[in-house]
Parts: sequence; C-alpha cells; structure tokens
Amino acid sequence: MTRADRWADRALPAAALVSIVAAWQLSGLFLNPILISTPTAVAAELVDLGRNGQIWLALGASLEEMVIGMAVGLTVGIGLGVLMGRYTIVARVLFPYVNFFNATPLVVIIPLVIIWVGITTQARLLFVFLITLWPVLLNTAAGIRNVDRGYLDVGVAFGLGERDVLRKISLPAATPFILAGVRISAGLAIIGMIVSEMEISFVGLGFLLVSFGNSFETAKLLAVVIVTSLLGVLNVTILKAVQSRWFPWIGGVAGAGH
Amino acid sequence: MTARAAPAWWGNAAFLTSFVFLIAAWQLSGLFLNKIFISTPSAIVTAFAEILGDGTLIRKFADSALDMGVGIVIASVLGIGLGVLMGRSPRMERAFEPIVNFANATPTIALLPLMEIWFGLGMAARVSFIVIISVWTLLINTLTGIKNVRAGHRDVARSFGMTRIQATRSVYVPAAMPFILAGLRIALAQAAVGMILSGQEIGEFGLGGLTQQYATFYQTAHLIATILSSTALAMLAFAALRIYQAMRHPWIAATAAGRR
Amino acid sequence: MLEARGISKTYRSGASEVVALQDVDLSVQGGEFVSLVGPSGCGKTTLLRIIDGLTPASGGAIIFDGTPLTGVSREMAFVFQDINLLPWRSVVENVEIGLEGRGIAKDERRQRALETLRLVGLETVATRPPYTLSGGMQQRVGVARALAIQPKVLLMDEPFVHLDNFTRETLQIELAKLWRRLGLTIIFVTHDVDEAIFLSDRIALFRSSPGRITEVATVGLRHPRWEFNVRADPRAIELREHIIDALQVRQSVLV
Repeated sequence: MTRADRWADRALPAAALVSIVAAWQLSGLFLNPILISTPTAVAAELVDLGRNGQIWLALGASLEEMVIGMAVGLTVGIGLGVLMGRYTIVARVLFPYVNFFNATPLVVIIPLVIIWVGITTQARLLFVFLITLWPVLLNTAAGIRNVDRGYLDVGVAFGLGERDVLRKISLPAATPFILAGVRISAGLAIIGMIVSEMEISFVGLGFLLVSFGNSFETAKLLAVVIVTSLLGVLNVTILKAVQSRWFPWIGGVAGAGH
Repeated sequence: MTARAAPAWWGNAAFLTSFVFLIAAWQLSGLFLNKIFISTPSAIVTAFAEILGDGTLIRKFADSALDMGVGIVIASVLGIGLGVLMGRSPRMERAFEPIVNFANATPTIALLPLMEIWFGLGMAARVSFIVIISVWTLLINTLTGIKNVRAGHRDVARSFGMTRIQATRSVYVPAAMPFILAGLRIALAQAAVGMILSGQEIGEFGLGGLTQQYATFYQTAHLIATILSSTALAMLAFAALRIYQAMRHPWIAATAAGRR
Repeated sequence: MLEARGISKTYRSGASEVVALQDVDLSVQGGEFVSLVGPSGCGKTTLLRIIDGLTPASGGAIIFDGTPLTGVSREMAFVFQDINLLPWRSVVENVEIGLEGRGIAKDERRQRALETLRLVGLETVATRPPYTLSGGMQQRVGVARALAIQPKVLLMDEPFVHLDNFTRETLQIELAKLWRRLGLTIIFVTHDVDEAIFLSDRIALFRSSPGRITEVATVGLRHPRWEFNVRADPRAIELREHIIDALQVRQSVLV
C-alpha cells in the first residue's frame, strides 16, 4: 500500500531476527555456554567444521543416502500409486497394508532394520526409502482416483486409448496431488536420513549431532543443526523451483497429504 | 475408469486372501530362515501374550501415551495460540513469518541432542522434543486457516458489529477449524515419531526404549510385537481425532463436498 | 433519513486506476423501499457496502439521521448475496450473531432470535445446521439474522439471485409483507428489473465505467402489490421498457 507499509514489510522481520540473535548473543553473558552457546561461537564452529573438512564429509555421506533413498522411494511410490489409483482391485488389496505402514511411526522399526542389514549404508538407504514411500504413494493414488470425470470424458470422447488417457490426462491432472506427496516425502527424507544416522551410523550429519551432543559441545551441535536447516530450506526451494518451472499451471498448495 | 470396479465384497475377499497367504508364507519361512530375522507370526503372538500378561506392554504403552499426550497438548496450545495471534495481527505475521518458515523447514529432529543437554534424561526432555517437532505444523496450519477465512464470513463479523475478540472466537477460529484439525492430524504423526525416538534415545523409555532393549538381545518376536503396539498407539490417536471431529465439528464433513 | 453524498470509490492496482463509483448521490426516506438496478460491475454492490461501512469510500459521506457515519453502522443490517451462514453454528445461533455483537445477554439473545425466526416462519428448524436447509430457507435465515438486531435500515445485496424462480417469487412476496408489517427502510440491489418494480417505491438506475446513478425512477404502483398482477399492469410495462432503454441493455447486444 503506502511507502511506509512497504518499508515495514521488510523492517519488521529484520527487526525480529536481529533482536532474537542479539538476545541470544547477550544470553551468553549469563548462561553456561553448554546450554545454548552464542551466535558468534556457533558461527566460528561452523567455519571451523568447514575448514577441517568434517562437515563436507558428513554432508556428502548424508546427501548420498538421502538422494538415493528418496529417488527409489518416489519411483516406487508413484508407480504403485498409479496402479492403486487405476485398478480398484489393487487399491482394495494394498490399501490396508499401506494404511498400516503410513500410520506407523517408522522410527520404531530402526532396531529391526539394524538386525536385518546391520550398521551399514544399506540399512540407512532402506530406512530413507521406507519413510519416503508412503506419502507419495497415497497422494498419487488419491490424485489418480480423483481425476475430474469431465477430463476423462474428454479423453474417451476424442478416442484416446487407455494408455493415452493415463499419460495425457490422468497423470497431468493428478500432478498437483503427486507434487504435494513429493513435498511431504522430501521433508521426511531429511528426517529419515538424520534419524538413521543418529541410530545406525558412524558417519553423516546425524552422527555428528549425536556425538557433539554426547560430548556437550553445544556450539558445534548447533552449527550442524544450522546445516540441516539449510538443507531443509534448499529442499523446499528446489521443489518450488521445479513446480514453477515445469508445472506453472499448478496454483498454490493443492491436495493435502493426509 | 471406475467402470471395471468389482463389487465391494470382491475387493475385501482379495485383501483377506492376500493377508492369509502372507501370514502363512511368513509362518512357513520360519522353517528355513533364522528366526532372528523376521520371526514367525505364531512366535509374535506368543511374545505379545507374554508381555501383555506380565504387564510390561501396558506399562510401556501408558508411559509412551502420556509423553505423547502431554506433548501434543502443549504443542496445540502453543501452536494454535501463536497461529491465531499471527493470523489476526498483520504486524506479528510480518515480523515472525520468515522465522516460522525457517523453523518449519528445519528437520527439528536434529534438536534431540539439545533437548538432552537442556533437560537431562527425563520426561521434560522427551516432552520438549515432542513439542518442538510438532508445534510448527500446528502453528502454520492455524495461521493458514485464519488467513483463508472466506471474505463473506469476515464480512458477517464486521457487518454485525462484533469486536475483534468476538470475531476471533466466534468466526475466525471456528472457520479455521478444518485447517487446524488437518494440522493436528499431521502433528499427531510427528508426535508419535517424537515419542518413539525420544524413548529410544533419551533413557530407554516407553515403547521406543522397549524396542532398543529387545533388539539388543535379538528378541525379534518381542520387538515386532512392540512395533505393532506402537502402530496401534498412533492409530488410536488418529481415531480419537476423527471421532472428536465427527462429534464436535460435524459441519466440516457435511460441507466438504464443494458447498461454499 | 439516509443520504449518500458525493460518494466515489477508486481501486488502484499497480499503476492503473479503476473508478468504481463517481460522485453518487442518493437519499432514502424512512420507510421507503429503494432498489439499485444496473448491469454487473456498475458499482451497486460497492455502494451498498459503503453505506453499511463495510467498504471505505474514497470520497463523499454517508449521512444517517443528520450525522455522518464512520465505521460499520449499528443501525443498518446487511443481507448478503452468498448468505454467508456460519456452518459451525445452528440456525438460531446464526441469527444471534448480531445480538452478540451488541453485547446482549445469552437468554435474551436466544429469545429474540427465536422470535425473529418465527417472523420468517422458521422457528421449527432453529436447532438444525444451516447447510441442511434449502437455498430459500437459508436466505430466510439470512433475513432473520439481519432483522434480529432490529435495524432501522435493511441493506440487501441481490439476496434472491441464487434461488430458483418459484422460490424467488415466494420470497419477494414475503419480503414485501415484512417490509409493510415492520415499517422497514430497505435498500435493495438487484439486476432483475421485474423484481425491482414489484418491490420498490423508487428505482435508482446505474451505468458502469465509471459507476454512477443516471436516473431515479418512481414506480408509483399501489401497495400491496401481491394482490394484483404487477407484470400485466400497463404502467409497470411502460416503466419496464423505460428502464431497459435507460440501461441501454439493447445497445450492448453483440449479435
């Protein structure tokens, strides 16, 4: 609206951020640094971890698990989701199982995964795959099943075969739902990566978190937390870019995951 | 595509057949595979009966349910409260929205070690962890719900002279209820993860702690029985939410089919 | 009693400006029924919202009983085109909304809401959720909600536009009866010329771009009008032709 309003638009969040960081820094004068450390100490540790290469090593291992596990999870999820959306009988048979796994707080199976695969990269990959699979699967199935009858009628009326109806009508029409599922799954992939590294590993960001936590090195711990946050922000940004680049016709957020 | 839909009983029969077949195959696998891997259904039932009979399961289940319940209540009060405040005050929204978005993108699960440092190995650490991983969803969904109240409903509040507080209580919050409850459903799933993970990592507590214990001694049947109980706890929480919504907010389902 | 003086409204979007209303004057006597008629987008709804205080004017003033209004008026009640009943409240609780806004105690609120529902013949559905009612019944609730605060002026924004023909005509007669019985002052937005002739004492004709009143026509038919066939009345037919000419409906036909 007015110039003052536009100025306030930028100034208010900046002021909020600055006061929080300042309060945090000042708290260092009174609190034991083990509790929340200070922004300057965290920044210094972040630079340090970058210089001695520790964070890059961890980040590399983490990203590998996350990307591969998620890629497999999304592929299988979308594939099964299409089948479930298209064939009622597949949906009827699989839905109770899917529902069961989707309701399970999957961290609970980590001890079982360790028994199966041991403390290995494969175990972490398996866990990331398992945790990313369900939201995208459910959303794809729901998206395909809920394609507007009118769109399908267009396909049938203009003589498209079954395969073309799926490829040219159902899948594009279900894309908002599928992307919403991908967003949820991508968020879970980071969580799965961190959790599996906390519990099944001697590498990666999750392992760094646990070991810095155990040795009460709070500044280092928070430096790693910030890296995971940036990873999360990056994740959201990439998905937004993908959506506006390749699916610009999808407005806003569509098809909630649950 | 629905043209080839089979009658409902057929689908159910197909599911039941697949289920029976899976259970049978699982049981038979016990003849060839080491039982440490996936155990067998009969062993799991026996283990389940055992830990149910000696009271272990009920105790751990109750411990976990309490953690999760307290966590979700605190997260709801904070998340919904702050969401309403931000939704009804443009200044608050502007000031804090970037921070909230950043927190929401953060895998807050990474803060588990920090909760241990702050609160030690007790309930305070576990509950704080549950709160910190579920509160953001509640906050953002509430904020979104408040911001998306229909213009017509906002007009009613203004035209009929409601005060800010009256309008918030009688129009904005009820109108945002579908978003808030959807947020609560996701928050419950997050809280269940927090409940298990904090049980595993902070002092071997509740169902999460129990899984660690059984895994250490390769008691796979007991472990799977515990996993199934965790699923049951989460499903109970979801069912409670569905019942609450159907009883207290029946209009949401009744008006969902496109009526505006 | 109620007067709009030199009302104008401009919307700014980026660099461009849209003049929704330009220098509109209108005065309404107590007990009068005035309709605002015109093509869509001519600003008649905007004027109604400005009169209630829901939308701020860019210029001009609304004078009520000699005093200029600021903010949302407490003497006027709005009936919305989309009705806007709150689905989480029962019918009677919806009618109570305006009474809550006026800080009236719970028991009295309920009693007055029920009395008003009786007025529109809906006391039997008081406890039902609004979405279980037909469109016509829902708009009766909308009218009851407005009447419950005992307003001096009723502002109605195309209230019957979403209803089928039969229901619309029934509600028109009910509204005419309520208007006479309660001695209400009503400002009524519609694009249905027959509806305006049937209900109104006077009809303000709007033109668009920019929105303005070009003429205020007096209907001059006797009340009550449900006792004779208004549509067949020669004066009504003449007035209808005149209004349609004045709105230049025929000039805008493309093919």
